[in-house]
Amino acid sequence: MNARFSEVTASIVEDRLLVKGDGLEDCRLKYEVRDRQTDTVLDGGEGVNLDIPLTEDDGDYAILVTAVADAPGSILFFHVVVAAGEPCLASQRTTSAAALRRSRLTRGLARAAVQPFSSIWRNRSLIRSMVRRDIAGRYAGSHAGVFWTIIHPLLLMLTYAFVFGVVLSTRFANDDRPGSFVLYFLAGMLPWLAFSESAGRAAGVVIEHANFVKKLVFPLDILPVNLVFSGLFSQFFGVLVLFGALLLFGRDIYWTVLYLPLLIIPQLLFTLGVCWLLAALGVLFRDLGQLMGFIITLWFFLTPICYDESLLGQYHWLFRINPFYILVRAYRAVLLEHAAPEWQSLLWLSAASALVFLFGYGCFHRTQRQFADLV
Amino acid sequence: MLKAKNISKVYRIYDRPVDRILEALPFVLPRHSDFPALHPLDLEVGKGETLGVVGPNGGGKSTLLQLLAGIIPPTTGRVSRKGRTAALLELGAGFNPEFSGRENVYINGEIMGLSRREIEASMPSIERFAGIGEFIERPVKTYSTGMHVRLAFSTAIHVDPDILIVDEALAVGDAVFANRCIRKFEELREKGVTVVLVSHDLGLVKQLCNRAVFLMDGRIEAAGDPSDVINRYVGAVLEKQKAWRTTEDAVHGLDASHRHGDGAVEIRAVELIGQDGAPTRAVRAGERVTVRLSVFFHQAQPTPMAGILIRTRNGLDAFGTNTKTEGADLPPCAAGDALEIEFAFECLLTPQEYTLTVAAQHPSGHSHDWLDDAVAFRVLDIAKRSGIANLPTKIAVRQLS
Repeated sequence: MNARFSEVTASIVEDRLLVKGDGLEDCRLKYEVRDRQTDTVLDGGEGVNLDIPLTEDDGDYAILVTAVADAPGSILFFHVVVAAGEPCLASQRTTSAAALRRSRLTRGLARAAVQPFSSIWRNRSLIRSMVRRDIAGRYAGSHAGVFWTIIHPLLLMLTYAFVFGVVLSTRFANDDRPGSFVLYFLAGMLPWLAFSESAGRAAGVVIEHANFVKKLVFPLDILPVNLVFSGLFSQFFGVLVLFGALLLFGRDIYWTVLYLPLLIIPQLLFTLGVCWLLAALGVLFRDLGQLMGFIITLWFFLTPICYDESLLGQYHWLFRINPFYILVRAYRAVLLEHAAPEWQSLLWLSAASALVFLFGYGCFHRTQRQFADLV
Repeated sequence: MLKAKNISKVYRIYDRPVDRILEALPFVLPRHSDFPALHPLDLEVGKGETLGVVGPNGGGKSTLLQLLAGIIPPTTGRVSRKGRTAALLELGAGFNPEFSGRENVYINGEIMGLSRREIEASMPSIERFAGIGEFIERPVKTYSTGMHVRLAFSTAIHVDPDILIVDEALAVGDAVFANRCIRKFEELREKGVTVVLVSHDLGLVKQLCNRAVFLMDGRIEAAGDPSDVINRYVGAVLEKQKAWRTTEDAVHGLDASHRHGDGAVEIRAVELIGQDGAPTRAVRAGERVTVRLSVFFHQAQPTPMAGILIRTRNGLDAFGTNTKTEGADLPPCAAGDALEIEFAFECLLTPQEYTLTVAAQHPSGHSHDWLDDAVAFRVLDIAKRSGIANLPTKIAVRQLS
């Protein structure tokens, strides 16, 4: 069969692709037209001396021809590009199913690297207004309104300050100045505040927007993105509270705070990846929403936010695999210790976050097609 | 311009949710069964065309609209849309009940791809069209269904779509608003907007659409001129109801909602017979139908009489007559006699559900046997006229100036 396929000539006549070859006259062929963008099958058929109708819609198409008698064997691959209604045969080769799978995978990976960014960029104004409404809607009808964004972390901090700082008299390493606990706690709380708020809601976000899935033409992949930016907003208020606390306890706001964006970028990538993953999983396992509350609490206590890291002792290895350990330390370094973050661990964190980001988006994107059946 | 080529939708049905996850793992055999909601079909709606989609529930209408709007991906095939698409599959699907109507107009407009400034510019006409007054400033959760519909529809048509896809949108909302919508649809058509519309209101489809398709069991059963397509649809519905009647109602038991009388005469059977001579429960408007009564006399009656009464579902008398009124006196009967009496008439009623009440009476008006709502039936029509009487109407128009 390979020998025969190698002598195939294909030509485009008007809007049809004619496939001819020596020895093919008696060979029944099967063809499939796929859209290379989405990889969906557009058309298909069988015949001898194939005469494949092409669409006049602009796009990038793959036409796969196999011999019916030789089902898993070699595949004739035609790449047809239609531009301005004119079809054009871009390339032609003989390939195998495995090779096609591989090339599809590489193209998929390349897309996965670009698509999350392009999707966020394309929908930026929609994201902006949805985040704004999310924040406004959260406090709609309450008296203190948007000030809850400040009051909430403040109250939380006071509670922890009382339990850990006063009752358990926790001290953070070699800092006995007044307010030390409050400041260390707050600095550690900053990245966690944003993360836990976003991740806590991510598992339910698609189900919550069931109407968007089933009834609207809507870029679903921005739903988790909205949560992340909404969480970042809370963190912004947290930073203001921390600055207030710094001034209150008579410390300076040192120039090392300018390192903050370097910490926020990997933090954002990581949170986005986790939120995409959770949002997709949350549709498949409804119980995840219930479980998340527990997981987040556990994660919080496994991160040295309300206690000093030296207390973990033999469980110190837990810190190494916890991205928030690195983040918490880095936040404390730049905000309280007037030092640059540890570059090596920050680099490691950034690489890991980028991977989580791509993996999370990939998972979301793959399951997204099924959402309409599931919510 | 909207073009669908070879599109189909096969849903995967999983017995247990966990099967879906297992299947995603490598080396696991398929654990689903396929449900084809829509068999491969081609569809093309040109600029300025209005396509009506009719068919029974579960026929694939909603799936088709979701595919056309691009909300769900097709299993095979491709939909190409040229221009901005506005889909109104469920009214106010993107509405957040906590926010004001105005805020929701912004949200929906932005979801449909408009900038805030563009929405601001069309806000006055959106408000005017919706006509909900000061409610625009109140949270949507305080709205009635009608207001919801008005605002959602008003937003959708003001985003200046090139393609508008509407599912059963005008079913709610009052007559005034429905009229305004119909005019708007006509205006959109003139502007060259491509419209796809699903409706159970066959009259509306006939009025608005220049082409229609009839979808049943995921296949296009008929396509083309709306009147022809609708006739095919009504025909299919009649057929189905007949099939249902013969299986469900083979025994003509009498089940009156209320039966009273002295029992001197007994009505033993009531049948509603269609034009084709077979018993029916679904009648075409204007069809010649026969009500057949079998009456048994337990006591002799010198001047017996029988009557029928048709009521609407909410109990309004639509039409009633009896043998004496019609001047068809029944013969004197002895005890043990039986009569079969037929009332034949043209069923000039508007399409809705009716019940048939029958009675055997004494000329004084005293009842021997009275059966309220002995038969329930439905009148079907392609045009939806209001009221009860369905008077054949011809319209003539002369230009006066």
